[in-house]
Amino acid sequence: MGTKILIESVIMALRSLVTNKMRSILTTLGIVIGVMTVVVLISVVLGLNDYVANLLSSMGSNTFYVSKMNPMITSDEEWWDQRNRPDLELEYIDAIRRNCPHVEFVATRVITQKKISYKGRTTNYLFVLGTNEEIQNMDDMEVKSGRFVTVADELATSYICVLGYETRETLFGNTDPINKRVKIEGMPFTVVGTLDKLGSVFGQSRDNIVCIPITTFKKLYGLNQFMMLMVKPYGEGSPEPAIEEVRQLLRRMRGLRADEEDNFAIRTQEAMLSLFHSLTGAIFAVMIGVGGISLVVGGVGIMNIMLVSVTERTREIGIRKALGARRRDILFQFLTEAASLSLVGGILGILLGVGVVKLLSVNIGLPVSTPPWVIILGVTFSVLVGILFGIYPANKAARLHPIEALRFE
Amino acid sequence: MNVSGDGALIVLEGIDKTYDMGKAHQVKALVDLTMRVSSGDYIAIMGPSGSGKSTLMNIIGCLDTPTSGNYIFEGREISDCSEDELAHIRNIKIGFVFQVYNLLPRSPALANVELPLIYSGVPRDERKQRATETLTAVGMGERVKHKPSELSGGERQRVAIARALINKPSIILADEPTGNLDTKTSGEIMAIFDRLNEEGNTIIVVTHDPEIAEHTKRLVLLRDGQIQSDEEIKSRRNFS
Ligand SMILES: Nc1ncnc2c1ncn2[C@@H]1O[C@H](COP(=O)(O)OP(=O)(O)O)[C@@H](O)[C@H]1O
Ligand SMILES: [Mg+2]
Repeated sequence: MGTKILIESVIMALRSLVTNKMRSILTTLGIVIGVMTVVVLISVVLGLNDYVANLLSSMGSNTFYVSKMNPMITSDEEWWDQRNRPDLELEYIDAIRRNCPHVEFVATRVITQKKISYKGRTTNYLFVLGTNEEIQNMDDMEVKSGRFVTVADELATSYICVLGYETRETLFGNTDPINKRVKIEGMPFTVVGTLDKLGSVFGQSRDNIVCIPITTFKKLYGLNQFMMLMVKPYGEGSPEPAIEEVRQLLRRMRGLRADEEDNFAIRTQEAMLSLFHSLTGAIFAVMIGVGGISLVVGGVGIMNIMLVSVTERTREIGIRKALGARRRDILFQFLTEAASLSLVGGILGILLGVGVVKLLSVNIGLPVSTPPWVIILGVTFSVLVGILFGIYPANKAARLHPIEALRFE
Repeated sequence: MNVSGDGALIVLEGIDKTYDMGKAHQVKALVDLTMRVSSGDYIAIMGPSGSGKSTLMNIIGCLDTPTSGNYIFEGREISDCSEDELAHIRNIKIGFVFQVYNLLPRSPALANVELPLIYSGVPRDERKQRATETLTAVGMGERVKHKPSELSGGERQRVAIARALINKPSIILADEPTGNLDTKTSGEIMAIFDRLNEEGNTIIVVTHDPEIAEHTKRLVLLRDGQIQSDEEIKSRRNFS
């Protein structure tokens, strides 16, 4: 019996939705926005989580990072303090290799922006990455043709380069670039390899790059405060012994006395993860806030429209009661109507949300992920909001006295 | 007196209905009213406006409850019934026909007639079938898909009668069913009631029109919430 009345009520609800299109759209707007917000934010946060998890796992879970400045700077003074520290030196790489038995390898990266040209063609500013052979173990860069930067290139300070996917396309189209000479800001470099497509993240193409040996980079452009060492300890265990070795070595090389603080920063993945999680935690808090507020606003809208509907249909309620509808039948009818109304809003919100997520991922390259449970969550939430805010109007309808309801003009 | 044991369909005994209109003012719509209805009765209730006819019909129809007195319906004391039980009685035992039709305006005739069956849990297919049959029985077989706004007053009242009949009630209560209809249409509607009574249905009709009352077998006259007279109609016309 319940299901029959349920079906009738859903049909009635949808019918009254269609007859009051404008009103329904306005009523459900809050729900639409609320559900959309939740879908978008969850998708983005999950996408970022996946992305970061992937990135970190490709680097090895106990890899740690050495840089001049700590990226988690909290004040201006701190920034100026750290800025005035001496830059990291190239010699550290070799010193670590030789003096730290717990370290398997050290990769490095430093970036600047330059234009590259080949024959008549010139690219826009793109990223020139000064790096070494070891970075291949930590990054998802894959050589497509030729070879990558080698230790020999590093030691010889060779003028060789490896082109990113887009850089190659821009300069060479379909022709083979290997052993051709390109010019990076006027300096000739021999192309020794090309990279596979990497795609884009946060709207940044990762294919608009060119890699050169770190030594050559230093000679031409100098190192800068953004230079970073990525240190991989042996095995999968704790990075602490390796960190201690590197720390003591760097303190010695940077001439620090025992009572002085480190003038460089070492970050573990754990620290980066916790930074990341505090960021996504903040996004989640915002999401709960925004989504919650819109859902409440939407719920109040539903309640309001249901109260109007109950008043408008007082006579109908009287008729139904005269024909044998019990309180719970009327209650059920109006609850179903409220739930259907907000379900329609929820579905619209999901569709819009999925659309926005698509836009974000296609146009901005934001990593996103919308698993089915997000959609189920959206549907469930909207129905719950409808029921919750429908209780008061539905109860009001159910308690009407049949005679008074029938008399209502 | 054991009123419930004598087989009457309805026994009303010492019924009072008082409306409280603020502190000082009270309206006595029914005063110590006693009446019985037997199965197969065909009764007209007449009386001046405000004499309590509708109030009486609403109480008989379990839409309202008396302030005091006993109401026994099919041997059952109604004042002991819960709200849900009253709804159930209205659903399967009572067929109400109103002056203003009281159809759901946006629903077609068929859906209107089906409505009581939804609340008695009849499956969809059976509902459609019974509603179609009942509409056909009141001459509306061709109009099942029409909405009330697409029907004339007489046609609307036929739909309302079909709705009242759909659950084969023990009694049909019609409160001024022809009050909004012209003479000819009124005659047609009354012809339906005549036939239903001949088929064994118990019917009470409230009317202002003596000609309508002449269709019935018994006339109850109300005045100031009391029964002034209650007698068989001798001049009953044979309309059929
Ligand atoms: N809900 C109500 N509140 C107050 N007074 C009412 C109400 N219903 C009916 N009455 C009063 O009760 C008396 C009988 O009304 P009613 O039964 O409608 O008379 P009738 O149907 O014979 O015209 C009238 O005086 C009417 O004003
Ligand atoms: Mg009346």
